[in-house]
Amino acid sequence: MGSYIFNRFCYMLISIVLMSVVAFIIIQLPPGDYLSSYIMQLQASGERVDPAQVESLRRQYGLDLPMYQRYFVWVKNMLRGDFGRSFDWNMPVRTLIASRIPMTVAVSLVTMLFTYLVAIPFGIYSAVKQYSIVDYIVTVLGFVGLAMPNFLLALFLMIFFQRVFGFSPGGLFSPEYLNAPWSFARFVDMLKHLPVPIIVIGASGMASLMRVMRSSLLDEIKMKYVTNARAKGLKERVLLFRYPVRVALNPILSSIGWMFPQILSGATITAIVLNLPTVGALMYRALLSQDMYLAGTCVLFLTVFTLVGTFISDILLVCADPRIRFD
Amino acid sequence: MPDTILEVKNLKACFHLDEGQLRAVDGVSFAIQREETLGVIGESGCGKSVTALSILRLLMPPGKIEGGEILYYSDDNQVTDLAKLHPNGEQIRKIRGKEIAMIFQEPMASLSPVHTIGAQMMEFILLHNPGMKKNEAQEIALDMLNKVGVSNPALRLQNYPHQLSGGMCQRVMIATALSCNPRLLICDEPTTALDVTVQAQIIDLMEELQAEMGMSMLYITHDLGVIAEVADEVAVMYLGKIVEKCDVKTIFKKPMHPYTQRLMQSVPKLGSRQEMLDTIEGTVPIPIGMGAQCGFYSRCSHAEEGSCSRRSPALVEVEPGHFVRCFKYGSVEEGYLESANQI
Ligand SMILES: Nc1ncnc2c1ncn2[C@@H]1O[C@H](COP(=O)(O)OP(=O)(O)OP(=O)(O)O)[C@@H](O)[C@H]1O
Ligand SMILES: [Mg+2]
Repeated sequence: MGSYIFNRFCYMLISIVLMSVVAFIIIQLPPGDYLSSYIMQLQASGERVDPAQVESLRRQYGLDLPMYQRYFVWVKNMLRGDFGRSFDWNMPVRTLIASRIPMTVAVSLVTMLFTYLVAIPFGIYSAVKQYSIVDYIVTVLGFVGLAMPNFLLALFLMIFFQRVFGFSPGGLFSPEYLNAPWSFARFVDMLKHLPVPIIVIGASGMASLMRVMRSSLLDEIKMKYVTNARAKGLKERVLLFRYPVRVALNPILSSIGWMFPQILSGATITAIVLNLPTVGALMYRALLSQDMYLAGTCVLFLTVFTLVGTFISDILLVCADPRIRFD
Repeated sequence: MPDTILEVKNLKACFHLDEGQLRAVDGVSFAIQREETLGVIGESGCGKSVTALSILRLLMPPGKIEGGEILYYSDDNQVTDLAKLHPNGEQIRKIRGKEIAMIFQEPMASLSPVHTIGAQMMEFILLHNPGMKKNEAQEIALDMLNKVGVSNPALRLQNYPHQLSGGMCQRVMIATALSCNPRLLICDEPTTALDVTVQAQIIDLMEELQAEMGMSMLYITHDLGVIAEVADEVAVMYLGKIVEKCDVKTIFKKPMHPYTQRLMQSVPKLGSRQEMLDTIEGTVPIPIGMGAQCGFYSRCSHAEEGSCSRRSPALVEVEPGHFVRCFKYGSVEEGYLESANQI
């Protein structure tokens, strides 16, 4: 067990290193760099571009080094806690990211918690009462959740909240609390803003989890060990939760691995529509303006979250399912 | 009948399928005497498992008991009709495991893959012994594992089913089933998934334990050799019906129903120079929407156009204690003499 976890951990580290290379290459892929868009910006506004000035900027940001050297400079600086500077925001990347990571993690974790808390009970109910009215309703809602694009759902919910509750659910805080220090009122204000992002980000994951739970429980209920336990005189409800539900939860546990990235990437689009202060939204803007240090750091952080999520789900699964052998 | 422990009367069980009503068990009657073993034999699909599941009310939709009685005579000679009980009710749950235990065909699949052997055994022991302490339950579990010949039982309690062999799993199943001292043990082909030597060991073990604990058994199999070894009384099933019923000696000495005779011929005999084993041609028909005819008509070499194809014979006592369902032995049409198919 210990060595299995150690192995998994090493794989995770290797993956992170590989992903940093990929992230770096992706950022380098679009033609031109920050300077060329900067120059274009200057030209568009009618200003004269001094080639000597451009050259000095190029040297200052290390943009004239060969690619592999730039990669090592980038990594070395990151390990020292220096993620470079955002040209676009004219701020250290570290400051920008640091203010958003807690929010990103908080929104993602709360969304996941909510997703599982809804999906598992409804999945169980749907399976136990297969073809009942509730099962049909849950199934239809599930498919709607799967099929509807995030941004559309976000727009619907925004209109709905505006009309019914009379407040705009954009962002995580109302304007008056945006830059206020933490207080109970600010916390309550955040709670009021959370449902829409949670529903929007969680909808498709919830729908697929519900299907997974339903079909996996439907399979388990028919198993011989269930009949055997029933033949021993166990109560139907005790039996259901102790045996088939317990076994059917295993695929749900392994879903944490893919749910986390799904929620993170879902959060990107939703964050743009709903104006949420998350890393995803930041990354989107950085990619558009070829703000490479910022974009690279965002990609890397999202990757690390994903890999850590997968790592945790692997370990949970191996604890939960004795049939998985460590080798 | 003071010596009877279970009496099944005219049991009918159906599956309501899209294709129609599948009559899996169609009027089965038998009785099991105290400390005796009734062997039930028949080809795959003849309704043996459905009969067994019906007794403990474990038949799940689309399956349903359509009629008949399942009379259980408890220790104090109270009679309960299991067929009338609520399938998840308190009463049947008190009987399941405690009074009537069951062992299934695939031992590995019959144990939960994510719980240890110990946890599963102790759960059932504690269930039927309210107020018992955990370590007492563990003692019983260890004791039972020892009894069924599981080596290193203390370690086995910590094991998961996938860490055990099939034979070992079946021993665990037997140990679990017997840990609450049931009065009747239903064995649904407990050895078919095992290889021959293990099969013989398990059967010996069960006979031993039966004698020791004074249990009755309903032993389901499609293996005549097993029947010869374990059964006192034998019922041959075909297409949801009992076609022949008598004591174990008679069935081997003087099988009467054409189906039983063919079954006997399909077993290799030691010393005989048979080139090819006699098999029964054709397959068991699916019992959906069959009209009135003998169920074995399509495969019977003695079948007579007219009587056999248009009427279904009743089970009648041809010789004392020997019941056969065939017109060849002067059976009458089913329903004509209702009392004839009851013991
Ligand atoms: N869950 C089910 N749904 C539909 N039909 C079923 C179901 N279970 C059994 N049957 C049908 O009921 C009939 C009797 O099945 P049963 O399982 O009792 O056979 P069996 O005698 O135990 O055979 P085997 O030796 O293969 O175990 C068969 O025709 C089978 O197809
Ligand atoms: Mg069967």
